[in-house]
Amino acid sequence: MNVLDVESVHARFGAHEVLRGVSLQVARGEWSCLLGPNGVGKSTLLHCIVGRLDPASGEIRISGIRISGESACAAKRRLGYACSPEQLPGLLTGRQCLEVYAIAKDLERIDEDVLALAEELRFAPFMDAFVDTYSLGTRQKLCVLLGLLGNPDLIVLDEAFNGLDPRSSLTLKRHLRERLSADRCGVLLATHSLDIVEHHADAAALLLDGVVAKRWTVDELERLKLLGEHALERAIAEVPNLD
Amino acid sequence: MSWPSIPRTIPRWLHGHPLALSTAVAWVNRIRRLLRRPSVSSFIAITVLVALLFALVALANWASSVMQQALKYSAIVVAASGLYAASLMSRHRRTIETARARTWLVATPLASRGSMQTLMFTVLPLIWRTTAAVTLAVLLTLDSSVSIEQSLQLSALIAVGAAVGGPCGWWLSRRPAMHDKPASRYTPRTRSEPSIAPSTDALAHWPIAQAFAWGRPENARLLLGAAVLTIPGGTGILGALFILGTWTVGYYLVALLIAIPHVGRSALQWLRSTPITFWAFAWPLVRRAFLHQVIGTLAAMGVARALSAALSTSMYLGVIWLALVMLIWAISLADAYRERSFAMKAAISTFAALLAEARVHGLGVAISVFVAILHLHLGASHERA
Repeated sequence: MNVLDVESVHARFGAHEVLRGVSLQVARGEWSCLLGPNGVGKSTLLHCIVGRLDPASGEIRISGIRISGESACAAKRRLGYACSPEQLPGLLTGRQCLEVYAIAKDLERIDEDVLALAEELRFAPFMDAFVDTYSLGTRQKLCVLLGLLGNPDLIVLDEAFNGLDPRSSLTLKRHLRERLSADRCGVLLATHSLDIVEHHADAAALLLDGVVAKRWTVDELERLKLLGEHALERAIAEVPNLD
Repeated sequence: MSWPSIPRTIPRWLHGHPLALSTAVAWVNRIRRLLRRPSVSSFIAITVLVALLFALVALANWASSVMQQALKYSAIVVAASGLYAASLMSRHRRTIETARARTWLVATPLASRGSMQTLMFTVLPLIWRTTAAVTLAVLLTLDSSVSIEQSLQLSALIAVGAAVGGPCGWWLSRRPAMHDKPASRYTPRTRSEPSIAPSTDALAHWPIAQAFAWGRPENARLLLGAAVLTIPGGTGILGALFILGTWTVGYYLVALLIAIPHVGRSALQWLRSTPITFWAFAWPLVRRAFLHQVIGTLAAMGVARALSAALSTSMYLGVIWLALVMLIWAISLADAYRERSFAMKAAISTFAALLAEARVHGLGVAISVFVAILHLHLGASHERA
């Protein structure tokens, strides 16, 4: 069963149509990457998926539940989203952020594996410091921890590895892979890092001019690896612009 | 379930409203941070208390006469209160919607939270401000010249205005759907193919754009309220527009005066790594703003003439204003360029110039021009590493 179904989603700001009928699926246990140049609508698509923006038309379902309308609440219980580091409230401590987030998600307690990940990411010493004293990497760690709270079916990450040191980055990738192996969730990551796509993704989609211009399955990604270094980079460059 | 790091001072029922809970925790943390520095918090508390007491004692007579006047023109009080409430609720709605759209809690099931609590948070600013106004009106009864009946009458007028204006402002500020509006209503449309070439036009426009940004309706609503209150009873529509226009020009000139130091500092932070000279930086920044100051001052002089002021007096006031503009801009830009703080120096120089002008006509202007030229020279001769 898919944890994310995006069907023919259109979104526009005034006359500018950012998304022109995007369709995308993420299966349970699948790590899917969303690629694309700056300004093609990756973040807009993610904002539609997490319910921040209402698309002009089309439908988005998380584990089969529509993210808009009356079912939004039920859909968001199955969603984990790592917000941008600049959105975090500066005057709360990391621990308070986790607690308020847990309350907002109707959780009884903070998940043990999230606390264990905080230790592994070496975030624990910052737990009682104010967010406005954090570095970018520390904020990013907190955003990811918030996104993982509540054992969500779908984890949405927007450039979540930016600012993370290599060790933390590897720890997080391993953690996500563990969750995926246990079929606990699906992951959608918007990224410019082709390294992550080549080594960790099960599927990838390239967004160009507001539509998905190209998809790669896990087999196609494997085949690209056999073609040598920079094969994915060349494959992306060969996709024609749609304008 | 227990959440040990959420302060116990925050009521439990707020846990059902995470956005408000987050704001409340931030406020408690802010106060705790302040209390960690007892000298600062004591100083602030004592200053606020003394200022309040002083205001109550010193302004009691003036306030009671204002109250008598206000009761004579009850319709204006209701209208002013209504306008204020409308602008407050309009702004508040926009703030709430923006906060909801941008919140870090966007992906949580916020929508299930109680609508009654949401409603309470929505009207809270209007309630506490109306309550503050009513309390002030009641406090004025401590002065023997104001009766409790008058105080209650004024309170009722304010409350009626707020009750009518608040919902109207809320309703009027409803937003169109995302796909019906551009990214920002303050972003002008591009009229033609823009050319890209080295130009200082953007620097010249920056302070003006800043002054306009400060003058947005949601920022200038208090001034609008004050301006409406200065329209005497019985004034015709043209007269009222004339008064409001004068306020607008005055506001713009003051905003532009403050905009140059503000923008100058930001521009230097941006351009500090370039080998820009003082004149190449300062002249583009002030040239259009100074032209606006001259035109605005001439307009103000025209208004003063229309209000039967002598030509010499209006010219004299205009010259003083322009001299002060030169003084403040020269000090702020030169000292910002020399990487020095300028606020205190600009304030003291302005005060000294006004004092000198009060003693000897023309002396303050001469001092202003001299100090301005001196700072321009200091800025120009400053060697950059």
